[in-house]
Amino acid sequence: MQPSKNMEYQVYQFKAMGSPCAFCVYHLSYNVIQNALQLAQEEVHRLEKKYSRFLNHSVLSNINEQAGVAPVKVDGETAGLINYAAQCFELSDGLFDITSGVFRQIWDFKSPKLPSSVAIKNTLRNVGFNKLNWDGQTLYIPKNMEIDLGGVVKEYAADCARQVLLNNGIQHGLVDLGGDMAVVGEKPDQSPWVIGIRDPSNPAKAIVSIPLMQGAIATSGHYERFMMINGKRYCHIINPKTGWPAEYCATVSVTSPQCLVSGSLATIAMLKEEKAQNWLKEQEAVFFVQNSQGQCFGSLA
Amino acid sequence: MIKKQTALSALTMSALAIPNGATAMVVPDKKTLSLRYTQYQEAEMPVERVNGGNTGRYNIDILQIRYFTPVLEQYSLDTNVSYETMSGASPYGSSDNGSGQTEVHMSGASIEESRVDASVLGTRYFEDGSLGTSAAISTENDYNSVAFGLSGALELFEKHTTLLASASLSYDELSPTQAELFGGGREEADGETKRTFSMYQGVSQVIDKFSTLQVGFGYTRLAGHLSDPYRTRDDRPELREQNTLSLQYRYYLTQWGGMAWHLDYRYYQDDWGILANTVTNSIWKDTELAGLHLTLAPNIRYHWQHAADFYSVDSTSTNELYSDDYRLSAYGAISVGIDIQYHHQDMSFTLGMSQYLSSEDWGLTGAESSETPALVDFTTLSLGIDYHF
Repeated sequence: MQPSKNMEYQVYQFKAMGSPCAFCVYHLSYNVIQNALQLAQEEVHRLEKKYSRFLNHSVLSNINEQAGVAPVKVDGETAGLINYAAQCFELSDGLFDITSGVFRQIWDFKSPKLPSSVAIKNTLRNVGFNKLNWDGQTLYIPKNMEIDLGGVVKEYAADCARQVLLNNGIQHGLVDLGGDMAVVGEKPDQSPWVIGIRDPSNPAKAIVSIPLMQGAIATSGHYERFMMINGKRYCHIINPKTGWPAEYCATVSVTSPQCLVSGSLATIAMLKEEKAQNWLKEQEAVFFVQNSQGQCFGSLA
Repeated sequence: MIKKQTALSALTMSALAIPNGATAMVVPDKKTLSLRYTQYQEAEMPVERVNGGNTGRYNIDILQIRYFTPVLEQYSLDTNVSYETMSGASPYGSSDNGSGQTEVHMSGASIEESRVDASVLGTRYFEDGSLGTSAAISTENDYNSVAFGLSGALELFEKHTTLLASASLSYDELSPTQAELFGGGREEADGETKRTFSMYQGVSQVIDKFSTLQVGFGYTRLAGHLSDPYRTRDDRPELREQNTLSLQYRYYLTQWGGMAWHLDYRYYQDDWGILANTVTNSIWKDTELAGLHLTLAPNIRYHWQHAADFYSVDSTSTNELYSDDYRLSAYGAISVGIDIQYHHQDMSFTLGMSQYLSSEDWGLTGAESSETPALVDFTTLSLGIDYHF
């Protein structure tokens, strides 16, 4: 092991996928760091461009444009992500659903107004992964439906960026894409990276610090995007079966070898409401849950 | 009892199965301009084995310019031009020196030649593969050649397997210098042609996250005037069929800060009776030296071969087929070298050196028939600059 005092350390911050992002890396060579940082950032931007909802010609937009028109043959990487999402849908009994994006049309967190029950009922008709026709290569989306990979791409990008750092000589590094984190080994002095989890009632402070030697951590919380109406919080994580936001959990963090898996387990747990901690235990996950009453659960608590 | 699969383990498996686009066959998005200078210098012949002429042999200087550029979204164009100048003496025959040893007849140090090669390769990239087509010309004062090629790659099984195939055709025309003055082999070769057809099929397989293996089979058929016009006597068949089997193994070691080990093996066999084996070993290691980030790649290669059926240094032989070209003899050769690369921003600098030594005693087998007095040792030195933009 190289002594860390000889190592260059660099924190590189940038914005991607609508979030503040950072890479923290150690290496003996400044040039290795520069090269790895550049390639890792390019990888994040590649995925942002490929799966953006906002860019007209992204792979995702091209797929959604064909909704109700024709089946679309997708590339291998996209197929892998859809297969992954299909498995999340199945393992969560339909709670994790990449067709939930249409709720954005009725849930506007910028205007403190609840959608009408008629609007929710109508939108629910256009939600349901099982209504898609997916054969592993070709996807047909019925009219008025869409898919949104926003719930998986940032976490997946953290895994990919970590792999790029690793492939380019980095052995000690941290990828942070808006709180979705993946580490490359421990720190050079063999100490863990310490990840602070935001306190849902005061997001500028950490409620718990989690040491991470390897793998990844992702967090889902009701403080990320929400509106308060008559003292009640409505957050952006919408249950695809009811059309209403998840209520019970304030924040869920999960550690696992892959950020993608951590992120989906955290989201599913949010949607499991009161069953969150028991469900995570059954999955043998390493997690931290704080509910809306401030009670904490999990091996990381 | 069978343990129920958890969401954690099931999702981990399917997350690992996502083929990451960063490792896919992506269209290159940068242009590269490269300049390379190579010096090839043959060692002098031992004086006691030379009959007349010059003990100094060939020196070759090569200047190469390469320009690679992506075109539109799915194409790339790779252009290469090289200029070679050759000077020195070359063995043109051998005979008995009267004391049981053969000696070599060298040409005077009068050979001064130059050659220009130009080639262009266009590639179209697809989701799961690529297709390329190439054209090349080569011209020197006694030789002209044109060649065309096709190549393709197809990625399967989430890009863990790549099938490779290529084929090429070339057409060469010979016009030896001073053919009328010297007559003989030169006059016979004047205006003659040589046609070559070559194909390669291979498969490259990712074995695990540390290693890959590529296995390939090559076939080449040469037809036409295959004898060397500058040798006093050189009568080779007008057809030659060559087969090669090649293995390339790449292993990434995590020890000592990480390095890659490359092991290449090639088996060669042709219908002239030559059997050859070549093993190349190299290590690629990134290191920090005097504050510079360098890639060091030391390598060692061992080659040994059987002689062609008609190889002989007995110039009195009455056989219909005859050649005393040392490249058709039984011998062994060892070469050691190192490549050093230095990367700085968009530039990379390469320095390469190698030393090649050969001996008829290193041929392991097949050397019992004839000795090989003209075997050559040489050194190469190369300098290169690549600019990516």
